Order: sequence, then C-alpha cells, then structure tokens
Amino acid sequence: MIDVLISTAFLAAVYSLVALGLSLTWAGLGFLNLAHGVTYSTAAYGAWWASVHVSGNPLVVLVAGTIVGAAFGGAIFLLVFLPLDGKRNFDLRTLIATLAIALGTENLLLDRFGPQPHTFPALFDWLSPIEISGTNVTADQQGAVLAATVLVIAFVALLTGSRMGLGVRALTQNVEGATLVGIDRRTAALAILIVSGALCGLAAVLLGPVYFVSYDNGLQPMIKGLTVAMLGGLGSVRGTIIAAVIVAFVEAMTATYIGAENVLVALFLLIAIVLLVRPRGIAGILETTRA
Amino acid sequence: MPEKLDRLFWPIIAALAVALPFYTDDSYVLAEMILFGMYFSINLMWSLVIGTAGLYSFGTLAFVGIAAYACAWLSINHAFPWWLYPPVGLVLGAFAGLLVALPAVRLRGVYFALLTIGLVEACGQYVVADVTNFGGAQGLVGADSIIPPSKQGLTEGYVYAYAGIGAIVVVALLTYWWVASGRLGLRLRTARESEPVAQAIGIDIPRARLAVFVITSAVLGLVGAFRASYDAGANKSVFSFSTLLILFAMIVVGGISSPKGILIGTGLLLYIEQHYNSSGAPRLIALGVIMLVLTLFTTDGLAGLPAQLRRRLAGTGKAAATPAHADEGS
Repeated sequence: MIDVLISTAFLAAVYSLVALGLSLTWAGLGFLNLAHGVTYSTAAYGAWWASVHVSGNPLVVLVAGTIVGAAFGGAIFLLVFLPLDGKRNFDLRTLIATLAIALGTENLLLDRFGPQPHTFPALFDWLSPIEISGTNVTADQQGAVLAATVLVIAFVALLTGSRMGLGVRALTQNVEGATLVGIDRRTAALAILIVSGALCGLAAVLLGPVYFVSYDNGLQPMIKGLTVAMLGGLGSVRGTIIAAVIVAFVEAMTATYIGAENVLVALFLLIAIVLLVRPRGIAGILETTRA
Repeated sequence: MPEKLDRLFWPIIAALAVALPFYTDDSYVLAEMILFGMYFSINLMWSLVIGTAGLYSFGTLAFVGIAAYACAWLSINHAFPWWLYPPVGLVLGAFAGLLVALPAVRLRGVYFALLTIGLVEACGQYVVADVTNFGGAQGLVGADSIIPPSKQGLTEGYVYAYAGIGAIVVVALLTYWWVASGRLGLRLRTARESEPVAQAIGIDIPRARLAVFVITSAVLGLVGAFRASYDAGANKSVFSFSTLLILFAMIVVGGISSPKGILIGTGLLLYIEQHYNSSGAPRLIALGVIMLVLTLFTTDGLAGLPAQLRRRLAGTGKAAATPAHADEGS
C-alpha cells in the first residue's frame, strides 16, 4: 500500500504540471491544445540534447527542458492563437491546427532523432533513496515530488498574486468582462501559452528518467493530463490538483492490483462516471458546496 | 461548378465505381479502392458528428475496431460466417455508440474530444493486453472472409470485397444525406450554432446528439464488420492514433461540411499516403504542414474555397467581430 501512495504522489505531481496548462488554455483562450503532447516530447529532447552537448548538470537539464517547453508554447501562440483568434470556426480550426502541429512535430522528432529512445541523466542523484516502512523511495521520485510541489505552489502564487495572474483569472471567468476592464487578451494568451509550455517541459524533464525520451512519448502524458484537466473541471486550479491526486491514485491502484494494461480503461470508466453525475467535474462539486 | 454538372456529380462517380472492376485486372488498384471506400465511409460518418453536429468526437475508430474485433472473435470462436458480420457490426456499433454517448452528449465540445481520444487509446491498449481473447499484439487471425478461400489473393477475390465495400459506401452516403438534409440535421446545426436558441425553439439537444451518435456508430460498426471480413481477422492497428490523425486530415483538407469535400480530401491524401509511402516521417511532416496552412488560410477546407473566395471578392469576408470564445463556464 505504501508503494501505491508513493507512486500516487509522484504521478500526481507530474500530471498536475501537464494538466494545469491544458486547463488554463481552454478556460482562458477557449481552445484545446492538442499539441501539448508534442510540447512534452520536444522539451524532453531539448533537455536530453543539453545533457549531451552542454552539461549533464541537473540544473542545466531542467532549465533546458523548461526553455524549450516555453518556446514551444510561444510558437503555438504565433502559429495558432494569433492567426485564428476571432476568426470563423475558431473552435474547430484551433483543434485542427494544434493537431497538425502535433503530427508534424512528432514526425520531425522521429526524423531527426530516430525511433530509438534515449536515456536521461539522473537528475536527483544527490538525494539518497530513503525507506518508508520497507518500501524504497528512489531519488528520482523524491526529486520529482519535491520539484513539482514547489512549482505548483509558485504557479498558484503567480496566478493569485501577480497582475498578469489576475488578468488570466479574469479571462477564465468571463472573456467579455475581462476585455471591458482593459485586460489585453493577446498578452494574457502569450503568458498562458508560455507558462503552460514551461510547466509541460518541466514535467517532461521530471518524468524523463522514468519514461525515457522518445518521439511519441508525449501522447500518454497528454491523455492523462486531459483526463486530469477534465476531471478537475477545466479552468479550476484547485479542481485540477485534486483531480491529479485522484487520477494518480486510481492509476497506481490499478497498476498494482489489477495490471498496468488496464490503467486507461479504469481511468476512462472513472471519467465517464464522474461526468455522468457532475458534467463540470470536481470544480462543479467545489462550487456547489460553496454555494 | 454549374448546377447541371453539380447534379450529375454523384451519378458519374457511381457509374465510374461500378465500371472499374470491368476495366482493370490489377488487384492493386482494387485494393486501393477498397481502402478508399473504408476511409470514405468512416469520414462521412465522422463529418456528420464533427461537422453537422459540432461534436468533437475522436472515437470513430473505436467503433470500427470494436465491431471488427467482435466479428473476428465470433467467427473464430463460434464459427460465424462472414455474412453475419454486418448485422453484428451494426448492432454492436450502435450499442457502443449509445454507451459512449450517454455520458458524453451532455458535455461541451472539448470534453467530448478528451473522452473519445481516451476511448480509442483504452481500446487499443486493452486488445493488446488481453492475449487470451484477442491475441495480444498479433491480433486475431483466421476469421471467415468475404473473399472465398479459393479466390484468396486473386483479382477476382478482390472484386468480392470491392462489391462489399461498395454497398457500405452507398449505405454511408445515404445515411449522410438522410441525416444532413433531414430534420435531425437541422436540429443539430441549430444546436451547434446556438444552444440557447435551439432550446428556446424546443429542440431536445441531448436527444438529437444521441441520435446522430448512435446512427453514425452503427454505420461505423458496419465498416468494422467489413474490415474483419476483408482482413480475415482484426488487429490493434484499427485503433492506431496516427491513422486517426490521417483520417482527420482527410476531412479537414477537403472540407468538413460536404460529402464532395470529403471525397476530395480522402482521395487526395490517400493518394499521397500510398504513393509516397517510402518516406514515412517526411510525408507526415508535410501532411502536418499542409493541414496547418490550409486551416490558417481556409475557413471550410478545399471544397469551401470557391465560396470563401466569392465572399472575399464580394467584400463580405467576415471580419474579426465576434468574440471566438463566449463560454459561460463549461
């Protein structure tokens, strides 16, 4: 049971990083970023490249992954949001455009780096494995949980404390209202996409030692991230974090007691049941209890 | 296109399709056309869901795959002959569609996409994991086929399959027209454009969406049944995410809102897909770029281009006036 809890903490930390970006992009900008998965793999390659060509120093690797992720977010702003914002069929065309980017980039990575997965340098080998009632917690798991927790707290602080965060939150509540009080949608969009990309890149670096680096390894985290974002209620930070814990727990339980191949099926059932009762996910539950 | 030619478009296509097997003895051409027929039928149904109804479903291949696996399984374990596949596929597709749609039709667009992408992935992983029932990574082999055993691999054998997929394409096209030009289509388009308006004039939105989902899933099940009989089995490639992307590219490139656009898109991309097969990754990169460029510059795909140009020339090109996202807490 302890091992289930440990992987829950690890997965929850990483999934919330991936899901927060998806959730904010949808709530604030109104499109589903299906290129989030390739943001993940591109950032992983960026970090891997830096570890080979620059330095294997954990800090360098982490920063490289973050920068590549953020740059990818910026590219999505330029290629998708800027040209399509306010145009006919915005919903569908953004979906197609992000999917097209996903398709192109995935194959570009395959073409450039080949199909074989690359291994990642150990990031947290300065932490020593600890033992909790007989179960080993690896240095990577500790580091990932630690780093992700710090990041999520920093992210929430940015969202609640800064002026830009205020603008972003206003956008997720009501687009017209936010525009009326002088919030620049484009600046906010750029901020959202860059921060989403950076968080996704960080998640990729943190998961790198576990899942390796390969051209198609972004799909799974994206699907899990989407599951978390949806369960949490798109746009709700608190809902997303709670959902990340639930999804991670279900995944860890299923993988340990039923079998790893049934994880997605179990998650799918969970989502179907929750949405049948609460179409707005956990955020819907939070709101009703508050009212 | 002049109106007269417009009206003759489908009869001409139908005549060409019927004439083809009499003019060619090349099994490769027939195999291409069979693949085209499958993709075309799938895309027609998909565009009803994603275009007419505006539901961002990516679950199409799940229904095809579920039906294909079920037919192959029944044939291997209970000796079902191939002509029993279509009813099985039809019923199973409709049933699976109902199961997915029940929780999903109440959701807004994006949730639908998430749920259905997850569904396809989950199905794909499940069939690979269940080695005892579904043969794992290798899939199911040895199911009864529409091609008689004595004709396997011969051009004559392909003609059987060609006739089979031809019948399914006709069903898909009739379903498309029946839904798109009937009451259901009108209700769905109204609900897509404005849910409050649709509700105000008394349209039961969840019911209309449920209906289109079940109807299209049933036809998709039919395609799955054909696929099981054509492949004499089923394997996990029916759930492949990259096939899903290519199919999506097909409806996007051609234009989602007309069967003609889907025909153009499916034909064009299938041709590229089959003839530049040697260069896997660059071909898909190019496909991604084409999709992106077309999406950025056209509003309704290639088939919608004449109308878009006309609007542009008439100076009524829609300006960026409407806020793209007016969503009260989805």
